[in-house]
Amino acid sequence: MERNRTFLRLSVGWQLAMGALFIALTYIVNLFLHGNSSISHSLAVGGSQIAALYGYCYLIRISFDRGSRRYVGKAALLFTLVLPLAAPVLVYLIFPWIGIELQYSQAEFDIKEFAAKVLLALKTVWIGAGFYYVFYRKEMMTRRVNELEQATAKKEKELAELKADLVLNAGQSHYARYVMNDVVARAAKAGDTYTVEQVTHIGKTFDYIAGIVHQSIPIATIYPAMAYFNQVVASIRLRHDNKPVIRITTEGEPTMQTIGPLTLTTILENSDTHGRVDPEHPIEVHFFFSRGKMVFSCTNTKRKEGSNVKSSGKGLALVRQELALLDRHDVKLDIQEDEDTYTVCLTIIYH
Amino acid sequence: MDPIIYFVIMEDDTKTHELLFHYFKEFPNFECKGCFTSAGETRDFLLQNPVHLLVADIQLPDMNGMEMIKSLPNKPLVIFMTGHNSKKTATKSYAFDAIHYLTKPFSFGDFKEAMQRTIDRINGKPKIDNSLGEHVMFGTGAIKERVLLSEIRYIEVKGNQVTIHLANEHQVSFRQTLKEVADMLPKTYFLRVHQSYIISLWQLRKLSPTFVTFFGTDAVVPVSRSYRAELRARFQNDPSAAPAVDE
Repeated sequence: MERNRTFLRLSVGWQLAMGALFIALTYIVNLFLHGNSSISHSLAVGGSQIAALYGYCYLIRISFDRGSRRYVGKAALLFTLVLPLAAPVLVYLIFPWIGIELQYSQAEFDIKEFAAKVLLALKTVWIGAGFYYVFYRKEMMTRRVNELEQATAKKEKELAELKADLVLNAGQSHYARYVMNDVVARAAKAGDTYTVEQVTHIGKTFDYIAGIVHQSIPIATIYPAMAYFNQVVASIRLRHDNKPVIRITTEGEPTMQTIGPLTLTTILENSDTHGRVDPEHPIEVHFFFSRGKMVFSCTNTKRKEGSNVKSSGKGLALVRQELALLDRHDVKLDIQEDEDTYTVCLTIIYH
Repeated sequence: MDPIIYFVIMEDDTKTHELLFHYFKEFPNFECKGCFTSAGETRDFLLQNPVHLLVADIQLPDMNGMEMIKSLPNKPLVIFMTGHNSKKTATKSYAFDAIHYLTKPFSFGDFKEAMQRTIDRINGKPKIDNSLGEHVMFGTGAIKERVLLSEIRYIEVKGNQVTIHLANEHQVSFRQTLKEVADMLPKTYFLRVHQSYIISLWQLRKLSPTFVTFFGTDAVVPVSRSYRAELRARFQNDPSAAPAVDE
């Protein structure tokens, strides 16, 4: 997982530069406030403060680690207690050993004054650690939110893939195929061409859907969409005893058009389900194709007594969902309704 | 009178045998020489008795139908039937130069089309009818890609890696030279416009002297000076079919 770089994640070079700046500021303060022009003194004091800050920062970081956080409270307390005790060890033993004399030789040791100076130095460290905690916490919260969002997105993607696989496996189930093939064979033997054709249609519908489910973006080019549309037309005609219940007129040739995979068939199926469909009142379908444009209209006669299948609106909702995938093109879905007829007109101008 | 076309059926499902015999009754010039339920039996028979056509299932109990066909020294024309429909299987079947790929269940209409293609092939009719509704197999060696011509937006080559950019936003890549790819495409719909690009003329949205754009994408393909005149000439006779021209 890629982590966002924040100002808390400085490179070693930047950390060295910031450390050097702090020591330089310590030197300036010592020079102007206390008249101390010794660089080694500023280096020793500033370096110690930086080391203490790094110690606190480390504790803060592991306090956000689930495995180690239970030890952090005790460790922080111990570290805070040890620091004032470490100060005399540094000032009177370690620094003199490496040649840095922070205390004046003529001055007597005053524990109150020493403690005050140590606390003053640690105050800067604690303020720095406080800031570090605030910003590090903020960063960790942001990271956790990002991780949760990514985990949710990953889970959603996995679920979508699983659903697609389920649809695919259901449609491509070997057993279902054998059963369909068996039905077709038996029906053919018995001379039942209706069953043969319609079961074949169901099988091809599964094939078409399987092809779409395989795609990451469910957009179909016009050729397969029209092939499936013609298959649905044949099935509907067959259901109406091969009577001329659908009249199709076409201007131009399909070429570069793309469309939602089920858009055309859903509109046609809606007309068949909710309209009055017979040879006297056929579904009128018109296609217009030109370079960069497609118009599809589907008109059906309304049932006088009203549709015996109540419309749930799911068909047109699916059509709108599919058309939303063509958002870079101008898509217009018009529904015209008069006393006798219901027309759905889809116009797509491609860009 | 039409010549007799001898065929063999290789299918483990006896119900499909019955269906095929029922459909073949409508084609009197097709004569069955054998009907087998295993690939081994079919192979043994075909080695002794060559036929014109093999109607073959892909998944058989003893071995894969495609592997059996691959092992034959003299391959007959093949119509595949399968209940295991997938793009991969379809692509493999087309790599066999199969006449048709029937997915179970199939109707008499599908079967009739397969028979018509068989007759056309035996009579020497070319396989590709130069229409955008045709599939073409690209690629060399084991990896082949089956692409519907109408879906091609443009084809790009980098080194010997060819990438086909499809209108449904997908891409397919394979190893082949651009010249070999160009030779497989119908000249009516496709044109080479650059040493690295072939475009589908039907997908063109805008034509400029130095580049072309396509419907449904922001992709821009450069046009070389040497191909510019031919590109323009394609649309001179049919201005209604021409894309927008940017002078």
